[in-house]
Amino acid sequence: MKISTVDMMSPAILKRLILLPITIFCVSSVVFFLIHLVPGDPAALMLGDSAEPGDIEALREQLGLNRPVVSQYASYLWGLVHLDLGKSIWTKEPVMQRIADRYPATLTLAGAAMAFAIMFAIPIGMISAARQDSLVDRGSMFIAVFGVSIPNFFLGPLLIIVFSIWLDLLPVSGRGSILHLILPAVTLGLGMSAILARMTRASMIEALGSGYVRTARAKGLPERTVLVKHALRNALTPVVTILGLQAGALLTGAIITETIFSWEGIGSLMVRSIALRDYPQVQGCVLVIAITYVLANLMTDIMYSFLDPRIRT
Amino acid sequence: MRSRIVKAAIGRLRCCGILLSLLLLMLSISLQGCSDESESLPRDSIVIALQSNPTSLDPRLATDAISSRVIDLMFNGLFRSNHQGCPEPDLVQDYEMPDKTTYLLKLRRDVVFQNGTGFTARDVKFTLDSIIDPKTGSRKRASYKNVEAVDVIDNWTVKIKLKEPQASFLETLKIGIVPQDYARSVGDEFANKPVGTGPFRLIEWQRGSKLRLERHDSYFRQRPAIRIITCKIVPDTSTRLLELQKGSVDFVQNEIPPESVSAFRQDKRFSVLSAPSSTYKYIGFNMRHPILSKRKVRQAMAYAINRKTIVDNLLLGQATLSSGLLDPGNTFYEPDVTRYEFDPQRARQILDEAGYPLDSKTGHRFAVSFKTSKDQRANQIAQIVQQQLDKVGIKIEIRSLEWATFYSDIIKGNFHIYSLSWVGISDPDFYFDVFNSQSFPPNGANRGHYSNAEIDRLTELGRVELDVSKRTETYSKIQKIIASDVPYISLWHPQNIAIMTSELEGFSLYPAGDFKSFERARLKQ
Repeated sequence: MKISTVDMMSPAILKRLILLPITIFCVSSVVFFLIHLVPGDPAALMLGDSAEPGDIEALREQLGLNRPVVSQYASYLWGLVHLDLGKSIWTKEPVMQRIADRYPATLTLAGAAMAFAIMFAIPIGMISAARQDSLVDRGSMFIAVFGVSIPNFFLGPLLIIVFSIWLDLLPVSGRGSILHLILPAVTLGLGMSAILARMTRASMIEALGSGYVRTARAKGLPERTVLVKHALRNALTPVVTILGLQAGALLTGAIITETIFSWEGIGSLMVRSIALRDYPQVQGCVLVIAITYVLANLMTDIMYSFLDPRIRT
Repeated sequence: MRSRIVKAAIGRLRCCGILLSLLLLMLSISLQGCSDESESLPRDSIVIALQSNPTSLDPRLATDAISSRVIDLMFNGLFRSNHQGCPEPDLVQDYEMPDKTTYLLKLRRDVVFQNGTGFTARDVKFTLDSIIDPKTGSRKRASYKNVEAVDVIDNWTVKIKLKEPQASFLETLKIGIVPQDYARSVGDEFANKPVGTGPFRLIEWQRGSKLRLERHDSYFRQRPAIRIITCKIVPDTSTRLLELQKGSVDFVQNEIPPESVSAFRQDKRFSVLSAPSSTYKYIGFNMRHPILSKRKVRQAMAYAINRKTIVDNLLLGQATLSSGLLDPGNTFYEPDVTRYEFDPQRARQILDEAGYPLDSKTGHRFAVSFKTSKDQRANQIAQIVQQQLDKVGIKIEIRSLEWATFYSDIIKGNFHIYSLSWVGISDPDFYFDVFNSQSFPPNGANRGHYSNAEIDRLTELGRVELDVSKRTETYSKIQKIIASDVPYISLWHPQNIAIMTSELEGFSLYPAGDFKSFERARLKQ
């Protein structure tokens, strides 16, 4: 089956592409005003108690914080149009540079966590559906419930104790070799895999009981073909929905996992920037996160088109 | 049919396995060249775990504790703190004061910067002038507002002229000296590529991940025994301790849960050092509050809080009860002040006398809010204080706020009572900053708007008095008055705690948690 690019450009996807810049503009505008509304003056935070009032004012002027918020907003938009997000108030480094330093780490961790989740969850979900109510099914679903229930701040240290301290197989934290990636990816991916496994199981059970699967079997098709080409493909649509929603969360919401494993990604950068009221850095992070979410949703739509050709029409 | 389904599923699993292998291969290729050096370190190298990434390595700009720790390793000031927190000569050979506002500093002649250039008086003038220059944007500028001029007399003599006498001035000369020519040539980049005179030089900085420092072979004191110090950034407390247990980190200092310390003490692979710190934990009052402005109320609240129970049970004894801002090791510490031992009966009696009897309907005398940060330990302490004050009839509403919001409220005076710490108190001139009525925010840190004419007079006298014995007498009076007035409830001085591999020897703790003693530390061979 060949799918051309034009075929895949369903009206829904085109609409999303058109909405992309509008969404990003709205999100970054809302965040700009929100971060300026919350209490906390970056100049006072930077200079501390020993600062003279004159020094705080001078720093506010130097950082452009004494200008009206609307004027600061106009400057921000002007910079945005020129792909210039400004410099971090605290480190004086370009915001884009700091994000570029951190984002690959986030992508690597999220990618690995998602790969782990998919490769763990879909086979488990399939086996559970095929052997419904068996010991395997119950065991798998118990693991799934355990995975979704256990919080990352507990699972992370638990995995470190078992695999790093007791078995001495993996490093405790940090980035470097492939070995450093395994524990954070499992920590981050386990919860998602549990959700996916349950969803796959439910969808597969529904698909296996449907008319087209009975027809496929009646035609004498091999069971493997029936299971994978007919049942799984149809069962994957809701799974992809969950995957799309979770992908955005994985890319941006891995703050706890990042902290436990000293994995410096964009999530921890944003949290720290909010605490320090580093306005340009927060705005830059939110912008990237918004783009990530929109693109993750777009990818989900494209996946729908691939899985279900009816959506393209 | 079931078995066919399972076979199909197994086939699918195989495909997944192949895909996973491919993914791992791709990731391993992308991560190649970033091997973790901490796992193959020679015996003359150590790994220190730091809580966060330094914000800047320029001593003129950095203010956070983590940056200061790393700067300790790379820079020397004209003076440095001794183990009592008092200034002692570092890059200065000798100094004299021709008059009360002039410091004539004779510099060491055997000092070279890590880039090979010699240290001279020009570097001192450049460093101090650049801090004073508003264009530098130094957060330490306010500390130098009393400096009138810095003059180079000759290559190794500097004259600093002050506008008026300042007894604490040597404290400000602990700042790291930067090389003039290099700092000018690199500009803002100095914060990322620092060069100092200290025992270690920066050779690598992977932001958010680690810093590597190498021994400065031309260091003017004895060459350090440790060749490489790797500072690994490990934000999570549990992970830092797990790294230590695994042996991939050799040293951790402070922010250690008290309950973990005893476990490390019993493990022969580690040695644990603890010593009183100059950090001061307190509860502050808003003096503009109609009830809290009354001294008797504040005294009653001090009697109602069982600090010893908190220290013994929550902090497991890893703090010393305080009677004022200065720790007992401080030269100016006055032990003979009013102390508030836990006495709830007396607290109730004082509150009755002050005109705040128990309301039989509400069961309380009055209610106030207690602001604290989101820090877990700070919240636990707030809850204990809430229960203890409730027993004498004071209702406390805890308001736990995100740090920047909390700090904003505190400096604006938007609180009833709050809890915070002062870190690194060494000179008693600090009393001026927190209790003199000229120091009301935004001019200073008298956040509770405490005002006492005698304290104003004494703190102004203490800051210009250069005679140590007279100054000690002045601060003794100040400490007695403050203890009696209770603008702060003094809680405790937490201990500095360092856990390290037992192979590391020669490291000692300073009251402010400095890393300076790493220049004398070594690994047992």
